[in-house]
Amino acid sequence: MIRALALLLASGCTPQGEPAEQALLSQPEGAAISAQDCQLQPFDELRVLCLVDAAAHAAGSGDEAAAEAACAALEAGTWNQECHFRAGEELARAGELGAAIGHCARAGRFSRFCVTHAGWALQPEAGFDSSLPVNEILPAIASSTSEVQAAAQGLEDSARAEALGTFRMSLWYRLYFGTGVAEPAPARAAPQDQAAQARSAFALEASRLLSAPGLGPPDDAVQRIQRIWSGALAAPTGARLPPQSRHGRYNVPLPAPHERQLEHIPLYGGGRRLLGADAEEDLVVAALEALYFRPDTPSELYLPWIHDPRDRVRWTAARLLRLCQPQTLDMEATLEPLLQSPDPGLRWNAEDALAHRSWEHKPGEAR
Amino acid sequence: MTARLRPPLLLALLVLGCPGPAEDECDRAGDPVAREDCLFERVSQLFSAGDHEWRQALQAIDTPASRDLVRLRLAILDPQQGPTLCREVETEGARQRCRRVVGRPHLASPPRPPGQEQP
Repeated sequence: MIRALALLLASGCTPQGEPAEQALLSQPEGAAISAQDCQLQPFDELRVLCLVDAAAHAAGSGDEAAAEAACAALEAGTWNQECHFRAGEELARAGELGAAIGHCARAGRFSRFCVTHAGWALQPEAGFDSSLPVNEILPAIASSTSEVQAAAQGLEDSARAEALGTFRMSLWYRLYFGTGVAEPAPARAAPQDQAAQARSAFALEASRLLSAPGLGPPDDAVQRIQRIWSGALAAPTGARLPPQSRHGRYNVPLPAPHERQLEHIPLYGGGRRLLGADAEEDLVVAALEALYFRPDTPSELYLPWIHDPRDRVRWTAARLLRLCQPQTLDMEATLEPLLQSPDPGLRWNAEDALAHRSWEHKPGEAR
Repeated sequence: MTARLRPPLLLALLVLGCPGPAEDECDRAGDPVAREDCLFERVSQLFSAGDHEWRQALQAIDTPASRDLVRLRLAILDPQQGPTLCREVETEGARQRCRRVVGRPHLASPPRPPGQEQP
């Protein structure tokens, strides 16, 4: 009877309300709800959902203590882990990096997902772009990376390196992508442990600014990005993207056998790319990947690069060639000869592409 | 005489769709929340046992909201079954609540043995 009364109080309804109907009344996602409100929910399982929502709401407001309290009310297991996952995501969105990673560390088997989501939930900071003096940018990024590094100590060994890589990428991405300016100086000055992420972030914005969306990048886009990087071409500028539109095409690569022993860095979302053998090679790999982020880049752009003498460049180009849609290229005729290639990377990509007709799939689909 | 009449009488009750003793038990709960709990327990026991009769027990519940409450509670208890259970919900409220479960696909991934907890 007490629980029935609690339900009536929780729903604010008159006694005619059926408890099942009242319990199912939609509670909009993100609605202001506290852990205390959840105690009025008479059904245990719905109280669980309520507490997860309460943690997410508190975290989204930057109230880490309230998020903590809500998660603490859930017993260990899947929903407790989910609660920390949601709290981690929302705290990152609110700019609380250390607290976000702290919750991800307690998200159990969801820790890695949490780190990826939290890393990419960081919001752009108005006015923080690559046109600022390098001596303003680098300390700001260093301060955030230190916070991440300290909090990441709570993560399991296997997740820590990935978390650091993800947050470094996200911090540099925030500096460049969608800001309307691709000044290479800050990326060129990045510390060694962030250099690859900085190159990628620069390349993403340079690639975006090379031509208007929908027109597709120029055929020599990679070379242009290289020339912008070296200063031979002026840093491109253009329209800023609203924060909610700062995303692009990405793909979570299949673990290719020929790349298994090679180092990768996390990219946007769950994407990742090969790390070049040296800075020059890494810029080419970064540019090829950045061009894929533009949904209007066709397969044709990658064709010359599958003959590059450098393995990582060739393999990156082969993977992206088969993931993009061609304009006029006959993909089967292009890929079939690669089945006989002595290069295991080209062969593997051709086999997989032809088996699954990967160029016909949309990003996010199985292949 | 009574012993000879009992089986046909029971059969007649079943054919006529008279509520079984378990349903009476839930209806007698009095407290509407306790009634929902009772209905849930009945389905949940069959569901956990992997007994196919859980669907019949679910369908025997009289209102869509009560059936959905059972489905949702089961989905929360066992998120791996969430997609199946949530596909069958009948009310908008349950559909929205279900999104909190099926909209987070990692919840449906099986827990890993200790020491291999990262995906």
